[in-house]
Amino acid sequence: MSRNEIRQFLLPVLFLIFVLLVWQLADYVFEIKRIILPSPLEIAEESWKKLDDLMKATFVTGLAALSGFAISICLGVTLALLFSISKLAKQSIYPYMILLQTVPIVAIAPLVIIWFGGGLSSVVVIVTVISIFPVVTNVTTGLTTVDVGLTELMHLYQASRSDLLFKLKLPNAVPYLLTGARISSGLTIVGAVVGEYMAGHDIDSRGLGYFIFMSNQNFQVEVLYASILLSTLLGILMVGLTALVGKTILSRWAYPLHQG
Amino acid sequence: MYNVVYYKSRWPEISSSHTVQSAKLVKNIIELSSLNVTLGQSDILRDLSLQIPAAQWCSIVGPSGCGKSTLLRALAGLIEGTAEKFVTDFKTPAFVFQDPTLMPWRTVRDNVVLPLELKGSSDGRRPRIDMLSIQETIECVGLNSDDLIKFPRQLSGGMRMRVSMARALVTQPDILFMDEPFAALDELLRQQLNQLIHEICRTQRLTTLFVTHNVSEAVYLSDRILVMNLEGTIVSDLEISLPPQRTPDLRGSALYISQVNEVTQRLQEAMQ
Repeated sequence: MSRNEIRQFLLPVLFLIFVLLVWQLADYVFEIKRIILPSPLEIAEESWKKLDDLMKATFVTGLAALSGFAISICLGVTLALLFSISKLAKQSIYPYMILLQTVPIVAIAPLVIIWFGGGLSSVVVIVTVISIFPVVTNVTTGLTTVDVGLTELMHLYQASRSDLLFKLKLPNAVPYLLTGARISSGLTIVGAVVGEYMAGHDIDSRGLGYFIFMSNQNFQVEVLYASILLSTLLGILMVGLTALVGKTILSRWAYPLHQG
Repeated sequence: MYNVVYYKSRWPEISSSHTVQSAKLVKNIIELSSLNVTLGQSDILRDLSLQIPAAQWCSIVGPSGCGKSTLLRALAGLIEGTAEKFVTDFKTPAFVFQDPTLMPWRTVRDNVVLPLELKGSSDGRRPRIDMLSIQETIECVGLNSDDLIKFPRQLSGGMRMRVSMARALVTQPDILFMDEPFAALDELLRQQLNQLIHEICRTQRLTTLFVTHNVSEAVYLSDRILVMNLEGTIVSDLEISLPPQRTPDLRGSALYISQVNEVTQRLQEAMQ
């Protein structure tokens, strides 16, 4: 690692330690009430006691996020294909795809619960709803913005519709899919936590969202902080893994990495 | 046997009425009269008539925006238009674009092989890819067999253009369309590649339509030069009388210089 890289890694870590120290010290000096702001040590202690439950919750949330993510990618690519094939479908449906992105997920969640019941299925549906749009819009762009010269080349050799799709449009859309997936991956955790907060109260679908809900109700502030931290880490993990998979695919397929 | 190349284009629909006349056998590879091409609202080509004999190198020059590229695309069947007569006698056209236009996700080999794959699948049978002829094509444009497994991003601009040429030649075309190829390359490299493609076309008696804005390049390479004006039609049709094999020392000859001057003058007239 070069000096600059070490600095880039070290400085945020030092800053975090600094903030935690000030936090702990302030708690000690000003005797802040636990309910308003527990100290880092109190959070750590309480989390340690509930470690098993918290880990299980993290796993449940991660699983719900992954399932919804997988559905988003499959369904999103299918919709994008439909839009790239049918101009009629694109012109009549695509605008709503963009409009729907602006509807707050919290507003949709109760509807989903009415339709799919409380439990894991609702959580997965909410994850899908929040994470599908970046996939659809990016892949549609990838399928439709193909190099004009390459399209002419395909026409020159009388390429069939399937050749156009499999040899030109789909490979062209791969970097766009990966960009869409990267944006979606961060949203999946948001969707999963919101979903669990509102619907994930079944014994086997209790994820971090449920812990946030319950710890809030029961004034277990330490658990609340721990859940926030864990869902953030889960989000970072999702985005990081997606980026890594994307980078691997791009380099193996030899796409220029700056594309998409 | 006449073969009217006529592809469905994805550009704005143009009402088309190609009338194919069962004309008597001539050795013209393209014969068209009063071709009109409209793109969007504007008329690009107006009442353009043209005959291209086989094995000729014909260059098209003209001011920018005169429709040179459009003419080339219409002849290749990539753009629709209307014509009184539009007869083509070629079966395997090839096109070299201004940019290399390679697929970044394919290796050099797979880029070169693409036209063969497409030809195979349009005939309804599995593509037959002869590695030996690919090897020959690759070497003929000055690439090494080591380059076959490289990806376009690993190559320089000149190398990419060579791959683009190899892709055009791999189908053993009977006509070659070139739209300002090598225009993005530096002068020396452009001359080198022009020389190379000229040698290939001359020895294989390949009919070539070459769009350029460089008069000296056009004269050096061509058997014939068409000058277009901004109205979208051909105003001058000039025969170039230079020996069939073009060598760099020609550039100093009085004959060459006088013909460059002649074409330049015609081009200036076309611009007014």
